[in-house]
Amino acid sequence: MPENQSSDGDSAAPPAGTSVPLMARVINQGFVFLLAALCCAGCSTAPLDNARSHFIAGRLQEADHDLAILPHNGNSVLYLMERGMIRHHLRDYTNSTADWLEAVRLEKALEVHSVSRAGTSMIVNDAVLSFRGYPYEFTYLHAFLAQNFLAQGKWEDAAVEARNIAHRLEKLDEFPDDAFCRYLTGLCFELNGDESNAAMQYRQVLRLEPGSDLDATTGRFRSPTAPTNSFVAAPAEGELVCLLGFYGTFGMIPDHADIVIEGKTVGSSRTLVRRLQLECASSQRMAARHATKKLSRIVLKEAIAEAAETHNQNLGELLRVILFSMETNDNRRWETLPAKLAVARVPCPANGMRFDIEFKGASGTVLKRMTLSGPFMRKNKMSVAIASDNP
Amino acid sequence: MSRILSTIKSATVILSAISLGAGCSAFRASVQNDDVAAASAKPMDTGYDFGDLRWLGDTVAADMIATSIIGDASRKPILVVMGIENRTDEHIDTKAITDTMRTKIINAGKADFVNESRRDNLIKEQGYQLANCTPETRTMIGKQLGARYMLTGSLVKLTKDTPRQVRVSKQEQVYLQLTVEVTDLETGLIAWTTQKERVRSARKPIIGW
Repeated sequence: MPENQSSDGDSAAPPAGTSVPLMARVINQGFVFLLAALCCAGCSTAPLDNARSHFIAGRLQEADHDLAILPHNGNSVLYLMERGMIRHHLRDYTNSTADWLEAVRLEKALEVHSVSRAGTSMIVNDAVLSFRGYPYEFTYLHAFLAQNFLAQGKWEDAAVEARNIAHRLEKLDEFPDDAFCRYLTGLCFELNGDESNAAMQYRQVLRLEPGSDLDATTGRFRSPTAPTNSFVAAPAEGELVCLLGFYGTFGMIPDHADIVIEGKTVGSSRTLVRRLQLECASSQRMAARHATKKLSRIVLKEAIAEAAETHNQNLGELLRVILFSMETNDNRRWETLPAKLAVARVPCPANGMRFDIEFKGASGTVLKRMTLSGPFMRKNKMSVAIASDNP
Repeated sequence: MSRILSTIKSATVILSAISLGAGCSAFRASVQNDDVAAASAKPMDTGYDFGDLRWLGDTVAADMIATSIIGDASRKPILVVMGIENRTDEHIDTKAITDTMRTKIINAGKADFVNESRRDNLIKEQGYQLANCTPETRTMIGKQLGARYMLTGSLVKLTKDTPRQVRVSKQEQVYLQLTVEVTDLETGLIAWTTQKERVRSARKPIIGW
């Protein structure tokens, strides 16, 4: 195509019967279509948003239904994470475990950086990349898998996941550590008779949450009035470990939960981690890398638009508008993770089959009360229960 | 105009080539019906696979058959398998290892095993026979044989990979160690033990298409 004709572009009316401006229009439209398609590729999908809305409203079956069909794109891992969590809350531990194990498998495949997706992300945005998440999200994949196995009494499998958590927490690379995951790891080791490694994890919990009143040698919590460093002996009959997730589905995120057995409060939960803190710390850790990439992408987009402008003013302008309208942050997160995670470890009767959980605000107001009925998985006098305030 | 036409022609040629290529066997899924020799199948990565299962099961069984408590015993000893503890970071079916070992040892005629995993079915069937079967054909209650030895063990895995550095591939080494113990149920002493080690190394790219 002669340069003088192409630079005229669409501004001049095309002479009748001449196909050159027609071709230019076709190319322009092709660009628009291509870029629109790229734009859509990075958009978050409606089923995921619907499922999250249903989940947080306590409509778990609807949420599960929303994610019945998994996409085969860069969001597969995120879908599996969210669906696994929905099924975990439905107590469908088998399918929840299958989803999360598949997410772990896919995440390992993501260790290979895709040049094609990375290249596309340099001219579109980071949302076209496969979801990689922050390290804490993948640590929680193992943490919730461990909880699924504990709920099923598969102690050895829970310990397998605990080892995976420990591996991940050993390679933090300045990302935030996590007291809840440490406690869960210690608990799984303790249940499998590995007392020394359990104590090592409990010491890390104490380091991260010094106010938790934890006796690091036993993994039990002291009463607030007991002297620090005092040894907490094993209860005579048995003990109950309750792993709690706080969502705040009734408008307020609980401060703590009390465990009530036969009408008597036997202990309170200790909050060990807040998701927002993990997210902020991880975001800060990645801020410099994200800023550098964003700056490079802006420079590249401007260079592409300028290059197009030298051939066709309108096309250049159009490209600039499209390219910069696609500039957005990658905000994909595992959103069905609880806002807070807590642990209660309390004495309980040997044949305890039923107890109440009172989710309370900071002032002590009961926000929600629920009854958990057994049988609870039990090993060496220790029963394990998993609960959250959702639904 | 002629440049546009030539571009369209080139694009058509490329598209045709891709379409033809899509029909090639390399682009199609295929299944081989021929049996792949399990022993000679190459591992795909450092993960635990059927090669490890076979090797661990076979070598431990061979060692057990050669021991004095099993191989040289005047009477075939009776064993009970109480499982191998999985102390790795993979969900490994360790029962498959003991199944392999048990099959080898029974087929060699060197020991007997009680079927501990089917005790509930056994008792149920005996109860059924007691209630419903003729006296001549029903099995006798209280005639089961007791095991003299208990087989236990643990599987451990250690992984080492290359540290963070500028690189285009990642090397990983995996060490598997299986410890198997045979405990005398009468004395409580460990009558025999063995350890098997396996190290596998793999390099995988960290940049792909």
